[in-house]
Amino acid sequence: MNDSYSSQYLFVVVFLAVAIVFPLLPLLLARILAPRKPTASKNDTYECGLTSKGDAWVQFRVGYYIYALIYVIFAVETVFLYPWAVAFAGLSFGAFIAMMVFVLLLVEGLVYAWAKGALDWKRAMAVDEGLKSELQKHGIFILPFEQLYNWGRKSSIWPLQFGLACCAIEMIATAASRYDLARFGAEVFRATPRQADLMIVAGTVTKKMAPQVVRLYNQMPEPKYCIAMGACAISGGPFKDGYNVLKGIDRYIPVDVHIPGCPPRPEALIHAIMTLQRKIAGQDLEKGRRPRWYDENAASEYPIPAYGEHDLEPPANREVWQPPRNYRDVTLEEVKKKA
Amino acid sequence: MEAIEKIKEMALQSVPGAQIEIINSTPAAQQPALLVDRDHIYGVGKFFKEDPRFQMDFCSCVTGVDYLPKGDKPGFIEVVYHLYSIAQKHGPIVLKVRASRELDQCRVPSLTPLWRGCEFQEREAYDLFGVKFDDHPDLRRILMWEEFTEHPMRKDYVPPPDYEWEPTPHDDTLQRAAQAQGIMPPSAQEELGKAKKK
Repeated sequence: MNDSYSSQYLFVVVFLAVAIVFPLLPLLLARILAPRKPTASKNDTYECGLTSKGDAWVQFRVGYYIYALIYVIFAVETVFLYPWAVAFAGLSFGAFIAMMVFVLLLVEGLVYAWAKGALDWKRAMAVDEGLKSELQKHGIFILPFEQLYNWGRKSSIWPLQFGLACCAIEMIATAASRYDLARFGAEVFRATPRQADLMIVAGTVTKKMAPQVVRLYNQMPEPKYCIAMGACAISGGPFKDGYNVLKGIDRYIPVDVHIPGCPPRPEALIHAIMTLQRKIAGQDLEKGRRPRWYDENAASEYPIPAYGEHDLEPPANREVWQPPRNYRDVTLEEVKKKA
Repeated sequence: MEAIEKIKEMALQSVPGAQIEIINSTPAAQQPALLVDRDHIYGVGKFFKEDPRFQMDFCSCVTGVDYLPKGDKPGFIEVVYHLYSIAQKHGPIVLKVRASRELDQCRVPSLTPLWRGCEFQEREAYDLFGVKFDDHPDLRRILMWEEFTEHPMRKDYVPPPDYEWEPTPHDDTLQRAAQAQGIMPPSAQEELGKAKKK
């Protein structure tokens, strides 16, 4: 009886010994038999073929630990509160007071953290770009709301479908399969300004056409952007001496990106779209720094020029366009003011 | 086709009273033209269109040319028609007609009743040169807007001042810029320069 009892344990001991020896044996053999030539590059952090930078350790901001600690505290509080709440009816008044003191202590901690600004996500989490991309590799995305909002908008720019001259051919090529504007989420050319975010002014704007272009821009809902594509759209280009050519659409509407070229290649238009995407990504929603259309009082209509007897009237919208100044244009008053 | 002198004779025979002059352009490789007086241009055109020896059924080009006064010679606006025959595969015959540069007297007969394709081209000549075509079915501006009052392809046309885009305005452009924008005129700049030196 006693014997069989100990023999039963003997099995366990034997199994344990085998379980330990069996994996250790090959490791030991490998250590004895295998050639060992460790070098610096063999011990490198990453195995992607490129020069490694830094080590695998990622430094997190202290802010994260504060968040984690606060979270843990309240999680523990819940663990305590739950059984207390279940047994609440059977407990004495003293137990209630003790629990309230416990809760109050935690509330005090929360208020303190709040007052110190530790819960202000933007301030505590002003993550530097390097850490952010490092975290993204691990599948953790840290971003304020407006970045998510901007990311959504910049990835679905819908251009207005219209072309004025030869630049439009390049624009069409950009949208077609070879250059594939769809990669940037901007392939949905809309045939109505009411569904468009972006006006690509592709080509020479004649004075006869300018009022229509401005009206189309006015009909687009905010937020709206404008790319002036090609030498003509930005300045009149080779036709700037012409009696019938508008010397740049930026005389009437605000232009976000200018592309030179006659015509610009599709790559240039793609570059402009990417530049615009960067601009959208950098837009702030905070008061004072946000784009004009968030301002209640800002005008959302740009005056449409009228056909005059000699020229468009007015020849430019001074609200959006000022003639370039050079040193000779400085007035006496300005010089005196500076002095 | 026959030589230009022969063509002129044939036209004169069927349109009596027409004053036709041969204009040899330089260099000689270019087409010689027939300058026809205003009263007979329609008749001469009709002759070239309907005569079985010519059958000029296609007017390929209507354009205007502005000649400024030169010394004692008065200036004029010239309207040029290029005629081809698709039926007989020959051409061109170049017809020219002249009108005064004065806007109210700048009139020539329209050839749109003969060649329908002239309609838009005559409208263009009207728009850019200010030639009024009598009997044109729809004489309106075609390129510029209706409110526009000038004719920009005339040589004395002055475009609206646009000194603003000039990177380095100078001389009278600078003066105009100064006047229009209330910017310091060059003389005041000199004064300023002297003041700075002191």
